[in-house]
Amino acid sequence: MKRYLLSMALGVFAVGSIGAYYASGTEGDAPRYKLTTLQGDAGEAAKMRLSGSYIGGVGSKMLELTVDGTKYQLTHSFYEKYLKDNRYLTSRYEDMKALKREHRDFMRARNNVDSFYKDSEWLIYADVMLYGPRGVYDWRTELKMDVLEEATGRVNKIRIALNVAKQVSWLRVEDVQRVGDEVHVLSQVRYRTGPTADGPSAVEFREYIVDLRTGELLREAVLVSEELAVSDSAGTGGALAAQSVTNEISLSSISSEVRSQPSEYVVLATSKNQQSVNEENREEIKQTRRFAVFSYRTGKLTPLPEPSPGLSAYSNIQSELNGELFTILYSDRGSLAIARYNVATGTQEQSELVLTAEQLGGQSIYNVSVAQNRVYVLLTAGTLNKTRISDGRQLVAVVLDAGSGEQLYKGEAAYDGPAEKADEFRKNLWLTNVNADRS
Amino acid sequence: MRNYLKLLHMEIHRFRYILFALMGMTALVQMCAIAFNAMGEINERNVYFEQTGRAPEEFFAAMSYTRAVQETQFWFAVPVGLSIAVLVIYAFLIWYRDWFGRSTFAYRLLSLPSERRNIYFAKLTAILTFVFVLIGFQLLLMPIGRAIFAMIAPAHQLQPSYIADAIFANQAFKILLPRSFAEFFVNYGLGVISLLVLFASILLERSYRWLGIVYGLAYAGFCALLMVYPMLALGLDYSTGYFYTEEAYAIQMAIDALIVVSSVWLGLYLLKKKVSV
Repeated sequence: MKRYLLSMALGVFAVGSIGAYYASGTEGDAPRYKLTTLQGDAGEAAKMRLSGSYIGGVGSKMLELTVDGTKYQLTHSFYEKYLKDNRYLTSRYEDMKALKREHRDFMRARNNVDSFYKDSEWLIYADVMLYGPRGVYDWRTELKMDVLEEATGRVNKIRIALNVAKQVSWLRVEDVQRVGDEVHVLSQVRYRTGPTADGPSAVEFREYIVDLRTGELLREAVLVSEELAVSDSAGTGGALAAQSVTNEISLSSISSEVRSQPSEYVVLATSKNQQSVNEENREEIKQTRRFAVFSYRTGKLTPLPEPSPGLSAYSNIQSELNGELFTILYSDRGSLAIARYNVATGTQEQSELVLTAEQLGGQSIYNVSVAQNRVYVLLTAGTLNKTRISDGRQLVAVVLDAGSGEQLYKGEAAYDGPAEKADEFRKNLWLTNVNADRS
Repeated sequence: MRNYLKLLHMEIHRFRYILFALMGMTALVQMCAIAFNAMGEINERNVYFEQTGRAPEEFFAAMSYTRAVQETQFWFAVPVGLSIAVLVIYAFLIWYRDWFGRSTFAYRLLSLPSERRNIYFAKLTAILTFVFVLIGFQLLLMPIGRAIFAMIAPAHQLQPSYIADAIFANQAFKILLPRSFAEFFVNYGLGVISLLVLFASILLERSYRWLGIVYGLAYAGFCALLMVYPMLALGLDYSTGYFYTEEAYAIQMAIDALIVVSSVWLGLYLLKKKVSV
């Protein structure tokens, strides 16, 4: 036995040291933080996720803070690292996860969350494809639609060649809805209006209406059309010359928050960024955004009332459509404003609500998010300096009712450990984003 | 079992001097790197104090072992890389030294009155023991390095460091000692599969000689292709692949298991029926 001592010692040493390393935890200097309720119902913060970094020690460690505690990204499990992220569609959205469970084969190789429609009778996935070119003028576009009838489990594959008499450069499905036996596919199409690829181009919202039973394209309509990237230089020095103006236009749609849910309405937004250089050679950006409600049932496009002039000064705009309520959240460092519209009537629900950072219990607003009639706000308790790191303690999170602005929850990130270390670790927590699960 | 343990001990015993030499070299290079780094930083602080008359703490961040490991990662990686190279070469030598060493040791080994599979598994276990002993030794060196660093650095200028952070400050250790044990299992699992394929290829060569080289290379190439096939063909890295990620990984696991079983079976079959001295 004695002669085998070396082998036994080496074996025990190898297993012991590696085992001890993994058993003792490999997170290193990664302190635990918790959300302490200062006011309101902690249940209101159940879906809130605060993300940021712990900046103590050498380097930083990304973390996520919820009411359940801290989760560091450095200790992602094998499942999270290798199995979850590659198919974001069926791992990120709760409705998509449910669809995968119910219709595993139908959900294969799907990648656009906006392409789904689901009700008790039908599950539809519609996509628009751009093929080619074999030659310069050989671009082909096709509408591909897979329709699953829940009662029979039968899948009807519909393929329709689209006659877009333009040089399409990009297109995608933005929303799919069913009205009776008609499937409405809302797509955004970008195409060239000049002879060359770098020449003028335009973008439009197109609606394709397909018969659910026969798979025939019944009609199509252009809902919004805009010319893109118009540059106008008044000086001799090109784009940066005095008083030069560049317009950037983009279209976006805001469909139902849970994408696969039936909704009669979609909100279409047109954004214009006017970038100019004034006489003092300073760059100025002016952003305007217009919203209009489109009803699939009536085919009517109704512009929403213009917001108050003061709201156009806000630098950050987010929006959500929840049932018949459309919420626009404006925010900047000093305050946030909420405007709500009833998309069925096309009217503003109530006068715009403006809340300052001080009213919310902080000194400045760091990040906001709107989800399911709730507004989530990350506030900083101290003013930011240029480096942002040393005193950027945006640790207060607030949950508001999007309709009334009532504060439902107020919490603060705090070190979950000995009190004497609390201040030190508090300084090393740098939260940057607030989000909420949409499930 | 007893015969297997005897053979395993023999294999470990044969490699012991090389193993201890690798451990000694690793300790010497890494500890010197840490000591020189700490002394260099203290020297820099002293120069600052002499030139400005101000306390170094006002200008420099506190001294950190994690940062020292980060700054000396080349010198940490050199002995690690050398150890890996030696072990890869020894994975060949563990077989060939029996044939080409003194007094055709393979003849005696194959004539032993015990199952030949014991030879195969003893050699496999020996290589894995060397790998994990070196990994374990590296883990042992980390707190020793921290203690040396703490002895050199002035206590009032020292920032506490965690071993896990110091390990992760080195790029090479991110693969060799990942934070997640599951990842550790995957990384070393792939290493074990590669070793099994290598053993099968070596035994093909020992069985069929010149033709065996072709067979061995073909087998290794086929296994490599089979292993990367799911990654390349099943669309694991893009969102529109037909297979769900868990299905693609199940296929990958099945392929890996198939390679393990076929390599072990082939190795044992060749050792029992085909290998000659």
